[in-house]
Amino acid sequence: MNRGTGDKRSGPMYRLTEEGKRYLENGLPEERLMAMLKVGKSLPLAEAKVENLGIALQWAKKKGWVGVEGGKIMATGAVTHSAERAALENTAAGKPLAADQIRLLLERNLITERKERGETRPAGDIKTVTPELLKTGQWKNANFAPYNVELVGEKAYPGKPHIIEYYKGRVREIFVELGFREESGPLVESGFWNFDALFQPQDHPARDMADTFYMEKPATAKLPDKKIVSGVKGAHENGAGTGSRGWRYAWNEAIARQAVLRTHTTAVSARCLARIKPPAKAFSIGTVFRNEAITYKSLPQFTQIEGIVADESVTFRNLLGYLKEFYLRMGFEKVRFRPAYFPYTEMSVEPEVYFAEKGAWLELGGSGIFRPEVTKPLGIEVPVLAWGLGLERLVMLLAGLNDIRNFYYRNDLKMLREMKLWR
Amino acid sequence: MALIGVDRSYLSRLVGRQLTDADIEQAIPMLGCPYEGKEGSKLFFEIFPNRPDLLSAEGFARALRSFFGLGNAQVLHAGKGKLTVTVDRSVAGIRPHIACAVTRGARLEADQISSLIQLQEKIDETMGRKRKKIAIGLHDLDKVEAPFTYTAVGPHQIKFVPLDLEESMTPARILAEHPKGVKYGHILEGAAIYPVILDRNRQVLSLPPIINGELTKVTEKTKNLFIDITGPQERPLHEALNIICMALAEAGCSIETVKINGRVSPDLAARSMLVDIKYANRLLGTSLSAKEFASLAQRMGLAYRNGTVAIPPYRNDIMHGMDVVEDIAIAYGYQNFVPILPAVPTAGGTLLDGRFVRLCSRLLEGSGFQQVVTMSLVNEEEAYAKMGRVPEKDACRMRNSVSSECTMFRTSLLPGVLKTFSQNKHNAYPQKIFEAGEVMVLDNQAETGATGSVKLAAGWSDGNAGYEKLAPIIDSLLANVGRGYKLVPAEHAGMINGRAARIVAGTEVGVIGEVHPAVLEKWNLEKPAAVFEINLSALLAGKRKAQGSG
Repeated sequence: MNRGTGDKRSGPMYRLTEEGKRYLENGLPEERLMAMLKVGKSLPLAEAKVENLGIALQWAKKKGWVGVEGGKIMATGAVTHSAERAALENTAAGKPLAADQIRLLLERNLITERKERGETRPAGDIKTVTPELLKTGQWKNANFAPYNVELVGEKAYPGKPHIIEYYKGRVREIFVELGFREESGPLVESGFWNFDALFQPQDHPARDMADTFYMEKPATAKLPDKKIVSGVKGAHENGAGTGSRGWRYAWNEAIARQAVLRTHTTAVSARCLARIKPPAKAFSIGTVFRNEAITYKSLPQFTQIEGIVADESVTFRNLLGYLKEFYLRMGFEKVRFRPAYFPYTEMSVEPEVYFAEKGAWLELGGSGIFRPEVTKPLGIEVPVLAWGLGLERLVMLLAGLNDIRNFYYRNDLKMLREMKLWR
Repeated sequence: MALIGVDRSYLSRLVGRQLTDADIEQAIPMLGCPYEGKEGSKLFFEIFPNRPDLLSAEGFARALRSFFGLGNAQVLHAGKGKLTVTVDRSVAGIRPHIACAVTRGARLEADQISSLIQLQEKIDETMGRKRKKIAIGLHDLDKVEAPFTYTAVGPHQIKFVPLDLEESMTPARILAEHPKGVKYGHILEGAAIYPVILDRNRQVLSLPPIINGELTKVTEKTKNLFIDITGPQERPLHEALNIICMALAEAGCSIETVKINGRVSPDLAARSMLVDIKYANRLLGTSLSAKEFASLAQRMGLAYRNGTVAIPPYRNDIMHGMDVVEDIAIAYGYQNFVPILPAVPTAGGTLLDGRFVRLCSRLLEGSGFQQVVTMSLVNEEEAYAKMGRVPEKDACRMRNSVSSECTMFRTSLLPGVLKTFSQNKHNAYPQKIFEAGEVMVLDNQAETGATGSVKLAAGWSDGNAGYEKLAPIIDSLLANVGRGYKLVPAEHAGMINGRAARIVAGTEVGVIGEVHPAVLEKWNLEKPAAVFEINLSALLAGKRKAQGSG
């Protein structure tokens, strides 16, 4: 695109688009809607026979001209003109536009920048640096026409990552920096790995149909090798060699076979424990599912950041150390720790970060040291630090979003294109 | 999550000191009971599922007194009582077990009655799994005459006035009409006879787990209580009974035993557990002395002596020495632990598949495509009907979704691409978007019955979007990852015939084409769109195979 010159002689830099011309002639959709409404009298939506009713309503609501309730539109006051109209008239008349008028009309695609170079450049000056100019050396005597370098012109939208992927990348970097190896696991998971291996009793409320997606297809999964299964069964029934008395009930293999959508990435950690040899540090970043309705604060899917550290030497203080370090690297200077409860950890902890802009502490996940009833049946004899932290709420804080549906459910391109990635 | 409401002044009186705002907002949450706000004089705390003993003002106060160092909790004791309960064999197939106790000398005030009822209801709901596992009845003992019988009767065999009603009803009618009968009747589903607790004159105390009789209703005039707890397994009943006895003891009652078919109930003896202080220090990263350990244990209501911890009868959450260590950590105060990073020498690393997916994503970004991330869970309408496709047989489906928008796991990312276009008609064009994400199909060879793979889909929508805009993107993508490929003309549901192709790199790895106007119309789209989708997992596997054989 071209830049106009700053010269006063230059012509107008914008012209009306087809839509702009139509609006100038026939009125903006919201103006035409307002013309149908009488102050103090509501109009059923079905009777609002205006072209582009959706656009008309959207703008009329945005401008606070109308309210919509129970399928009826109500004007909030008399409206004489819109800011766009004056700006459209100025454009048509070739008069200069104020910066806010330009922004307003550009946003609605009602004006476009003039592309004709000649109009904006004084004659005689060099406008374009051509290969010819360079080859012939004519540039030595050239007088370069100045640009209006303050003008940015059309917005550029680079191809870029979705904000959640950007932060997943940062989280991955942090754990790799700290010496953690990445792991992953299946999204359709057995009840065994999602619950039983994590010492959640089979009648635990977390296994209720209400919270967990149970699969119709595939309905069941295979169980791992007998040694692991009998170890887990023993841990539940009587503690079997873990030093615990267990939950003391009859463990049922059929319940463990049920296929579910994994409810936490801790299932990945459980599988990982069955594989690793300490010392080991592993992490995973993955989608988890809860059977919840779609609202501004809940979605049936979200992302968890999982980490484990298995080593003879690790302590509760080290757990707090890793969590503090992680959040520090994510940009949160103040972290505190609250007691919590999870069936699979002792010294269960909820880390909270202080979010200065809101002046509030926010709880972002769970952590603890895995119980021996979890680790021993999987062949691990050393303490294992573990955490499962939410990512969306953290990103919402960092990006100033307050509706979780901005992830997954809606992908508003304007928001994504303009979303600031570097904080 | 269990939330309890306790009256601030009643709780203060039980604790033995006026609770300050700092106590409520700062100290109590560090015991593991987050403060959730107040309504008038009522304070709300969240009680974690491992601590049902805190579900009453009395149990809560008992814990707080120790935690605040206001004196040792009294050791619980049950005096020997004379009351007997006979369990008849007829209940064996329905609700076989019962645990009971008697308490005497209650002078129950409104606060206490509401606290007890809250305790009963919360235990029924949480540890009792909505009364299936545990159902509790509290009775005015003096309204009935011992001995009692736990037996079963026919649906029309007996009549009594259920709690808070005036009319006498049969069990059958209570199950059909009474709100509690409707709510909990399913627990007795299929039973031909119903369990009841009767006194010596066959007066009904209770129809567990549904409702008590009005006859034995607990009021401010009640002095002596009879507690019944029924359920399918015996042990949890005694665990709940101990918690209720503890709360009543805190409220000033004395506990008395009952003989159930000759067995004495409740058993309020403390149990002991060996706990090694070295183990605790190693786990916590502390160096507590035996004396410090003992004093921290005491603040949690535990008694430590010579390597043994005495655990009160209502703390059934303590299964392992580690549970005691957690109590010690809470008494020590999580805020007092100094976080420290250890030296655990391991090498970091990322997953190969993930690196491949991220490289492909970067190539799309470099071509000017905005990444989107759409729902992994979709419904058949979006996945098939709106795409002009017939439903696949190998999709993974959920069986209990609360949202009609999420009934299956996506098998393709293309519906998400078109949905995104349909949500962005008000935004600037051209719209060039891509998504890289997991899809899932049934696989009876796989351990979990399903196999996931990562696909990458891209879409271009604009007034002049077409096949020719996207083909070069595929070309550069596959060139950059070193895969030779062919575009093979193909018919594809939802794409314009003659403007669609299979992407073949060894095997078929994807599809590219112009979206059919019929599909655009279904998504309410007014501009043309071209899309492609490629299975990155298949592409990577194919590449490995090619390298392996070459």
